[in-house]
Amino acid sequence: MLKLEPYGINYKKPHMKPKEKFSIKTYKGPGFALKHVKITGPIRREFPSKGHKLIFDGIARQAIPSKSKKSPQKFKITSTSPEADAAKVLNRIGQKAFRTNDPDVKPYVDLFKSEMAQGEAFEPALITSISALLCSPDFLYLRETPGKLNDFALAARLSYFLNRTTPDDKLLDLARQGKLKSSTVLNSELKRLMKKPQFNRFINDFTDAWLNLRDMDFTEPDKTLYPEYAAFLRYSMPKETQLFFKELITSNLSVSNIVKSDFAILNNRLAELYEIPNVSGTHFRKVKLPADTVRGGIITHASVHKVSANGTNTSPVVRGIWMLERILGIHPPPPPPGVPGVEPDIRGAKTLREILDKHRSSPNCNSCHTKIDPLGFAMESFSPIGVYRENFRTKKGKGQRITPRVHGSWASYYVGPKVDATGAFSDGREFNSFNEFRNHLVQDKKLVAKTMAKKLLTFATGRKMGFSDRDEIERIVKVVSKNDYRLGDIFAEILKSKIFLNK
Amino acid sequence: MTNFSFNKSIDRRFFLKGSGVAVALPFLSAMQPAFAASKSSSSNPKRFVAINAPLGIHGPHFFPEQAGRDYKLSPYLEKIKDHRKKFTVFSGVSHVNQNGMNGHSSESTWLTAASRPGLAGFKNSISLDQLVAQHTGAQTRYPYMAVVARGKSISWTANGVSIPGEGSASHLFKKLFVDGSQKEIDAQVRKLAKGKSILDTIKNPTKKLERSLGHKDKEKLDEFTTSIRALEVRLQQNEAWVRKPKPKVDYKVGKSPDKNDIIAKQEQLYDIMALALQTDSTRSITFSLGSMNAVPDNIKGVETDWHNLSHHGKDPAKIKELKLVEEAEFVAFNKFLNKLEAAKVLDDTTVLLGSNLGNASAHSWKNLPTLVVGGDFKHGSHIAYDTKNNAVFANLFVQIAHKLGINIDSFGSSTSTTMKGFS
Repeated sequence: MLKLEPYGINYKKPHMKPKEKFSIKTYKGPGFALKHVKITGPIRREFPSKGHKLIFDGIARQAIPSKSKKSPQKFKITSTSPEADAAKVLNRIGQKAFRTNDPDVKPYVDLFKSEMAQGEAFEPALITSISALLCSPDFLYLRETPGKLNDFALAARLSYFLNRTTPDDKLLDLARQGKLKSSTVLNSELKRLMKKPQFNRFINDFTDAWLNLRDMDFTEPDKTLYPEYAAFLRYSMPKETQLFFKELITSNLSVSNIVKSDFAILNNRLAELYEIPNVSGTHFRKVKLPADTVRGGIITHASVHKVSANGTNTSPVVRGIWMLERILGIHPPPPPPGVPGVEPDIRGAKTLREILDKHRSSPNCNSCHTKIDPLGFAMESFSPIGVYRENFRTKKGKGQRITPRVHGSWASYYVGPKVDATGAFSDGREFNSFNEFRNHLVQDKKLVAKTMAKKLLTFATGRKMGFSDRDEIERIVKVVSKNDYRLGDIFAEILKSKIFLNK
Repeated sequence: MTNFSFNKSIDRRFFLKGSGVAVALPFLSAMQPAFAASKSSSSNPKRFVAINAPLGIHGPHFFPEQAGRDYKLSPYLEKIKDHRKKFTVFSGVSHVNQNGMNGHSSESTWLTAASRPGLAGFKNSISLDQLVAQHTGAQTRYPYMAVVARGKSISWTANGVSIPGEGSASHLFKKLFVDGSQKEIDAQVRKLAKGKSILDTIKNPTKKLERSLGHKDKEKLDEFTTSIRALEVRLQQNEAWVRKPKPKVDYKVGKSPDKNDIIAKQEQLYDIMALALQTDSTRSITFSLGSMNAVPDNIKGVETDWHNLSHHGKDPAKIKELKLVEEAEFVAFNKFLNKLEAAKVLDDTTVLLGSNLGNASAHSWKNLPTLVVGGDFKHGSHIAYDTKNNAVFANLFVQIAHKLGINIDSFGSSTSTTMKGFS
């Protein structure tokens, strides 16, 4: 898809009154005109393609003379020994698809034979048997037998963990040679797989699951309250987090950067939202942050503030649980049955914190909420789209009416009640602002490291970490503690761990 | 564009028109003359439709204030007032323990009555429509239809696997009513045969794999083998139906509506659903009314996106807009009921409409707006249970299953086989 949109010019917003519409016709600033856009394709980087080679390599084919020079060259498969050729092809695909050296492809060869016997031509018969092969549980399920993983199962685990696909030729070769279990080989493979473009799939899938970035579009921020939210910002938000997380891994930085960091990876739109000066241009780059900023660290990313809020308002409970589970790795039990949830009220009179106070006064609720709420109170400093705020925005109220024009969008909201970002951890550490809170939280980096180890192991093995895994996780955390809990080190330790190497 | 006439009984020729071939069609209840006794008899096929609103239905506009038969219609029920004698409205029902992964998780368990949706260790169970399909599916071209205006379907297999929903009216129409050419049918037959040989081929590798697995993995593989078996049955059934001509209806699917025009979309899909029921092409349908993070701006007066409106935070301006959207949905639903009534299938069709959210603004799953229309029930009341200490919603599922002739002792979290005061 190609989408071109005049950035900052709100040419069509149904919720706006006509006189408020800011159109291209009245726009007086600089601009540039696109006369036409040309799209060509499909782009054939190579012919025969990888998939084509996988299926048809080694089978004779004949070029069909084409009528015009423009039309692509077509071929006809002409196998002289169809059965032998099919067996060869199915074995080759079977090795890849079943992630093993000696795939049992006899059932698929038999299917090919019976299709041929029924009068099918070579190619469609082959396609039917390849379809069957790809429907096989040997392809659809990863085969791991309890105990120490064999080399092929290990290759698959590594590959699906870091590249999210079947093992490549190098991994399969190493498995064939029985070399994969050596820790030096594992380490060099880790580095190699992290350099592959497919590693971005890991970054995206993992942050989707860990931080819930997959729910970026679950709610749409209220347009009158949060006019800043538009396509470019939406695009930039998760990108920042993905790039930042990747940087922590590849530069082997401490997990404390998840909570507090002296740099961010920004483009102009995010820098503007974060009020960080001197960042121009739409590309992302590493930016050293001023000392007094509230930014730096994943918990200060707008993406995270977006997914932990609903479009209109934030809840300290929801964000508190989000922080507790995803950053500190603590899972509070669900509320006891029969407890009514609090109902948000955006009319302006009360903040959710005030509504919650009543809820918290019951000793039943209090035992968990003293752990949950302080984290959420600190996060109240950020709006549902990640803007730092000292006051809530409300739709009605006694406060001052604000009508900013943000990138062409008119907004209208009122300055609401003050944000109360003060609180105290359940162990008594008090804070009066988000930055004070963050300075406390960064002391808990051991907990953050443990969370990362747990989440990464869960992601890599596809199973929930249990009681019996506790010692091994503690061991990993202890090893990486010697050098400031670095994320790259955690990866290396995970690959050495019993949990990763066994089923 | 001609629309199907739902107002009078349907002439048999209506179905044959244009088909060019004289074919024996099953004698459908829709073709009974209008004056004949159309009271549901035991021989009539029993049908089931479940409709869920994943973004909630605003309670104060849905629930009547009084209980019993003499309740005053609420603003939403006002839109379906013509059917008042044929529906029952429930308040104070909910499923057991629906705290889930997020505020909307209970969407996946609305029709299955499983608990703790999406939390660690959660596995969904069969949805009511699939249970119905298991019992009635062999008698119709399609055992079930999982229809969605947007988003995910509310149908789940016996293994707790989500069934993909169909959202295109023209695809559905094609599947239900458009015969392929002889060439296409032959190709389809070949495809089915191929599908069968593929399934036959993977049977042995599956057995082999199964033997080598431990208990937990076997359970996982069971999802696979069950779906293979189901597919096999489907292929067999398809083979039986593929050469039978499809029923002919005088209906043209209009252009697919504007992306944000949720009401037009719902109406179009309701049309197809009504046609599917009256031609007995299926006896089990689910419909998700959908959700959207965009403005349904085809509804006059609506300027805010739909999901946002459901999180109204008590803002009266938002609730007003929300009412416009939901009223329009009830108007569309009313048209659907009119069609079922005109086609004389409403008395044999139990329609369950509701939402998995009792208060969407707070993501509360208590006190679910619930409506049962049609089928063989004694209707006409508002059955009001305790809005705090709710009645078990799944008991209604058991009761519905019994009415459809399916004898089960329990379903999901049910604790009884009937709802008190409902028969």
